[in-house]
Amino acid sequence: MKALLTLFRSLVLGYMWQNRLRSFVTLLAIGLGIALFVAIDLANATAIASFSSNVNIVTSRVNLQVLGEGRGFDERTLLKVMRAPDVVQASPVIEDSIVVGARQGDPNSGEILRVLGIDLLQPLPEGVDVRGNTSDPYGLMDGRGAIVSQRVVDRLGLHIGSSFAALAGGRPVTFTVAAIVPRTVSAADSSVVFVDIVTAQELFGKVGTIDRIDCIVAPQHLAQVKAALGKIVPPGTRVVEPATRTDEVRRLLRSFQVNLAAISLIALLVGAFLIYNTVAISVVQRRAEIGTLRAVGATRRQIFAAFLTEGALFGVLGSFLGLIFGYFLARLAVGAVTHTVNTLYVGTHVDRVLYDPRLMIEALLFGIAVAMISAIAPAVEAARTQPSRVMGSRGFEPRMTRLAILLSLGGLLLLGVAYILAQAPAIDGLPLFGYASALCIILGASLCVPLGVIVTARLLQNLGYGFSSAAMLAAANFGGTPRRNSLAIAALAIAVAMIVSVSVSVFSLRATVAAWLDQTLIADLFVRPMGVSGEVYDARIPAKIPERIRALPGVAAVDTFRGVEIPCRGSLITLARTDFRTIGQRDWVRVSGGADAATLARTLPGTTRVIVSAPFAEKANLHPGDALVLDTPAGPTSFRIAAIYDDYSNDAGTVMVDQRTFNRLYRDDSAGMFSVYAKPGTDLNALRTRVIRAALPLRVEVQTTHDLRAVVFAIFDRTFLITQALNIIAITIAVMGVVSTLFALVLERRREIGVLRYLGLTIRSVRNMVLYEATLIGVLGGLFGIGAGMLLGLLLIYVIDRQAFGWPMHLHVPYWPLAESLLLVLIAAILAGIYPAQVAARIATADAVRAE
Amino acid sequence: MKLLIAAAAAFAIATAPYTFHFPADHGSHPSYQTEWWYFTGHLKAADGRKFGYEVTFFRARVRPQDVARAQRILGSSKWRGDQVYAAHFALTDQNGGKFFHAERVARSALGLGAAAVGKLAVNVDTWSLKGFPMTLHADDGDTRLALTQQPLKPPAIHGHDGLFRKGACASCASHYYSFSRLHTRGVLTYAGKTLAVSGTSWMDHEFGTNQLLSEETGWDWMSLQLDDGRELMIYLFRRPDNTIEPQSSGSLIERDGRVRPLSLNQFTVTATSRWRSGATHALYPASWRVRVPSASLDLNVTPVLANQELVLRSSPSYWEGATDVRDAATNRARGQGYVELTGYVERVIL
Repeated sequence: MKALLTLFRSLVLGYMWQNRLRSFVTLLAIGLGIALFVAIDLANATAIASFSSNVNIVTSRVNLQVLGEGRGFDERTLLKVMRAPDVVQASPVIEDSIVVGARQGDPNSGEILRVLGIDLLQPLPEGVDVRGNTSDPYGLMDGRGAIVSQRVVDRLGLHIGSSFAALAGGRPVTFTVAAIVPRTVSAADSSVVFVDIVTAQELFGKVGTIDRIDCIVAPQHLAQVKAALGKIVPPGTRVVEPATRTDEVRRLLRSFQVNLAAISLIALLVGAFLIYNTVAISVVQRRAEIGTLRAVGATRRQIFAAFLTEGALFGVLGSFLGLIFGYFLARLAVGAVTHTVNTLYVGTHVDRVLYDPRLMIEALLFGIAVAMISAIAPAVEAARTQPSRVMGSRGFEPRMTRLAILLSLGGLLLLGVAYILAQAPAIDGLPLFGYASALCIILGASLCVPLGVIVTARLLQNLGYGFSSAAMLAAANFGGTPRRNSLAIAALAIAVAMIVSVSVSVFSLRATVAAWLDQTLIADLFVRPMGVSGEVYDARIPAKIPERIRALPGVAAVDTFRGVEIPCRGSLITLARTDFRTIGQRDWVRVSGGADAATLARTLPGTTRVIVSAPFAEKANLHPGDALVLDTPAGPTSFRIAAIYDDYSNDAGTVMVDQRTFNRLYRDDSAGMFSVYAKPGTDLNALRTRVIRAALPLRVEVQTTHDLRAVVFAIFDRTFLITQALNIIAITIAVMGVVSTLFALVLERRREIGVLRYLGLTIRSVRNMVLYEATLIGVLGGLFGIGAGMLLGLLLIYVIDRQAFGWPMHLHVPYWPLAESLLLVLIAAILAGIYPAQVAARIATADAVRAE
Repeated sequence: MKLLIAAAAAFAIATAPYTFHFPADHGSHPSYQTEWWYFTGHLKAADGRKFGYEVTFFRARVRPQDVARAQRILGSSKWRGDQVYAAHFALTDQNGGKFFHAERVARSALGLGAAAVGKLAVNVDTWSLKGFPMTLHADDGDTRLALTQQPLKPPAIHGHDGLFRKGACASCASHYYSFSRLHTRGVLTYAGKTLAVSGTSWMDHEFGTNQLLSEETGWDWMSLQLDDGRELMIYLFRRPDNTIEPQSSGSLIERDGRVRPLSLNQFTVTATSRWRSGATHALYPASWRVRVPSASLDLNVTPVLANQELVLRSSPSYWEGATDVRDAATNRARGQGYVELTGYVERVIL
C-alpha cells in the first residue's frame, strides 16, 4: 500500500502538477459535463416539486383528493364526503389564478399567481398568523382578504392591510393583504395566494361549485374510503391520492426532461473522451519512466492502479468542480426550465432551487465512474510496458493502420446497429431505442476517425508536392500519431455532431411549425382575457361577449374556443370545444388523417365524433374510427375519432369536440378565447380598439395574426434556448480537448522540433506546422461531425422527437447557420493551436541537440 | 373566540332589563355579537368509571351588515355570511387520568353551522344541540357523546332584571341564564368501548355585545352543584394587575330554584395553588378556597385532573375542568363543580 502511494505520488500527482494546464483543462471538461447533468436534473426536480408542493401547502396530511376534471363540481358533494365513514377532515378548495402587474399590449408583463380558495375559518397552515388583524380579515362580508407569500409582499411593496390590484379572469379586482405566509411555510412555490372560498367562488364565477376536496382519511382505511367516495362523487370527478396528479404532471414533462438529460449525457461523453485522452497522453509521455519503475520492481498491477487512480482523481476533482458549477448553473437553468414548463404545460412559480443531496451524490458517483472507465484502457496499456524497454527516446505509437481498419469496420457495424435500433418503437412513450441508436451513431462515427486520420495524412503526403515544408511536416506528424489525434478529432466531432443535429432538428421543427401556422392562423384578431397566457383556454369569457363582438361593424365572423384539462391514460389532455361547421370554410385546422374537412363540417356538428391532435394519436396509438372514452360531468362518454389534425402547440394531446356536444356535457357556453375574422377592407387597428371596448368590463388582450406568430416563435425560441446553451458548452469542452492534445504532442516532440530547428527550420515554420495540424484536426472533426450530426438529425426528426413528442416533421437543413457554426468550430480549432504553437516555437535548439 | 373579534355599533347590545320568554329564548339571538350554549357535567358509567365533559356551541357575528345587500353587491356565494359557528368538545377520563378535546368551526353554507331563532336547535358540523327533550351530540374520530338532558329546576336568570353586568361600561353586560341542575343520561363511546352513562350537568346560555372592558383580560368562572340541593355560580372578571373587576358577581340557586344574586362583597375566592401548562406555558390557578358566609359555605374546590386545558387552533386556548368540592373544615365531600379559566394564554375579546 505504501509502495502504491509512493508510486502514485511520483507518477501521478507530480506529473499532474507539472502539466497543470492540461490537468486543469481536463478537470474543467469533466466538471462542465457533470455541471450540466446536475443543473438539468435539479431544475427538473425543482419544477416538479414546486407543482406538488402546491398540493401539500395547506397540510401535508392530505392523503386523498376529490378532483373535478376541468370543471368544478357541486359544492354539496363536500357534505357527502365529510359524512363518509373514516373521513377525518374534508376541505373544499377552489383553484384558479390571478395576474398582477399586467399591462395592455404586453402579454408577458404580468406575473401569474395561483389562487387557492379555501375555508379560511378552518385552522390555517402552521406559521400563518392573522392575530391582531382587523375585524373581518378575510372579507367574509365586504372585503377581499388575501393571504400572500413574503416574496410577493416584497415584490409588490405591500404590508398587512394594504391593497393590491390584480386581474381575475381578465376582470380588475382589488385584494387586501390579510396575512403573510412566511418563507418557511411557502416551500418551493411562493406564487400561491390564499383567499376565502367566498372570494374565490364569486371572483372566478364559481358560485355553488368547488374544484377539489382535500381529505384526511384514516390511513389504514385509505383503500376502502377511496372506493366508497368513488361511489358518491358526481360524474366528471375522481378520487385520487395526491401523488397521482403529481405523477400525471411528471408524465407530461417526461419527454421534455429525458431529452434534456440525453443532451447533458452527450456533453459528459465528450468529457469522458478528454479524460481518456489525458491519461493516454500521460502514459505515452512517461513510458520511459514506467519502464524504469517496472525495472526496479513495480508490478503491473501497481502501475495499472496508479493510472486508474489518476482517472479517478480527475473524476473526483472534476465532479466536485461540476457540483459547484452545477449549483450555480441550476439557478439559471431552473428559470429556463420552469419557463418552458409553464409555457408548455403547467403554471408554477419557482423561487429557489431545491438541492437534492441524493441527486448530487448520484452525479458525483456517476462522474467518478465515467472518469475511471475512461482511464481503464490507458492504464492497461501502461501496465503492459516491458521493463526492458528502459530508454525509449520517443513514445512511438504502434503502427495503427491495421487497427484503424478494424476499428472502422466496427464503427460501420455500429452504424448498422444504429439503423436497426432506429426502426424500433417507443417503450412506454419514451424513445429509448432511439437514444441507443444515437449512442451507436456517436461511437460508430468515432471509431471511423483513426482510419480517416491515416488516410488523410497519406493523401496529403502523396499529393503534397506543392506544399510548404511546415505543411508536409504537419501532415507527417498528423499521420504519425493517429491515436492521439483521433481522440481530439472524435471529441470535436461529437460536439459538432451535437450542434448539427440539434440545429437541424430545431430548424426543421421551426419550419414545420411556420408552415402549420400559415395554414391555421388565418383569423385576423385573436382575443383572450388579459394576463392569461398562451395555450390556456380555461379562462371563462361569458358567451355574450363574443356575441357582442360578432355584431360589431367590420366583423365577418367569430370563432370561440374553450378547453378543459382532463386525465386520460395516466396523463393530462385538453378537451377543446370548437365549431365544426366552420371547419371547411375557414380552415383553421389542418386535417392530416381520416375524413376531409368538408365531410367533417357536414357530419360532426352535434355528435360525439371528434378530431384528435397528431401528437396524441401518435402517443396513444389512436386511429380514425377508434373509440375514446373520457370522463365528463355527464359521466364516462364514448367519443369516436373522425380524423387526426396537426398540432405543434403542445405534445400533451388535444381532443376537439363540437360546441353543441361540449355545452351539453359541461353545461357551459363560456369561451376561453375567440378569434375574429374581419370583413375585407376593414382597418384592423380600428377594429382592435372596437373589440377592446366592446369586451369591457372584461379586459382583453387582442393580437393580430402577426403578433400571435411573433409570440409563438418567441415561446419556441425560448424553449430551445437551453439546447443552444448546451451546444456552446459542448463545443467549449471539445476545443479544450484540441488545446490539450496539441500541447501534449508539442511537448512530446521537443527533441524532434529541436533537431528540425537545428537543421534550419524557421521559428515561423515550426509555428505554422502546429497550426496546420490544428487545422487538420478542425477540418476532420468538422467533417466527421457533420456526417454524424446529419445522421443524428435524421434520427431526431424521424424517430426521437416523433416518439417523444408526437410531432411529425420534415427535414429542413439550415445551411447558412450551419456553415457559420462550422466555420466557427474551425476557427476555434486553429485558435486552439496558437498556444501550443508558441510553446513549440520557443523550444531551444541547443537543449534539443544536447539531448540528442 | 378569535372569531369573536369585532367592533361595531349596529349590534344589539345588552344594556337594558330583559324579560326572558321560554322556550323561545333558548334559541339564537343573531342580532347580538356573541352567544353560547355551554354544557358541563359529571358522568358515571355502569362500570363505575367517572368522566367530566364539556360540549359548547358558539355563535359569533362577524359584522353587523345586511348579508342580502352584500350578496347583491359582491356575489352570491353561499359561503358568504355574517355568522360564524364554533364548538368545543372535551372529555376528562377521571380514572384513566386522561384529557381529550376537539374543536369545530363552520359557517352557514351547506347547513354546516346553524342556530335556530325561537327554538333550541344548534349545530356545528355533525355536533348538535336540540330541544325539547334536550339532546346533545358531539363526536371526533372514535370518541362520541350522545346525551339527553332533563332539567330538574327552572332556568336560573343571573344578575338583576335579566341583565348580568361584567364591567363598568354601558355595554359591559349580557343576558344570561343557566339550567343549574340537569339529569343526564346517554351513551359515551371512548377508547374503543361504548358505555351507558348518567349523571348531572349544568347548562349556560349567554348572549351580548362588547361585554368586556378593554382592561379586562379574561375571567375565572365556576359552577358548583352541592349535595344539599343548592348550586353556586361565580363569575370573576380579571384585570391585568390581577385585581378583580368590582362588577363581578355570582348567584346562589336555592333548592326550590329561587336565585339569590351575590355581589362581590358577599363571597371570597382564593387561589391556593398554581399549575403551569406544558403546551401553552400559561400559569393557571389550580385550586380554590370559596367562602359565602351568608350561605354558610366554606369550600375547597380542587380539579380532578391538573391538565384540563383546551389547546385550540381557531380560538384562544383556555382551561375548563371538572372539580371536586369539599368542606374546608371537615374535608367531607360536598358536591361537584366545573371551573373555567380564560385569558391566561392571550386576552379574550367579547
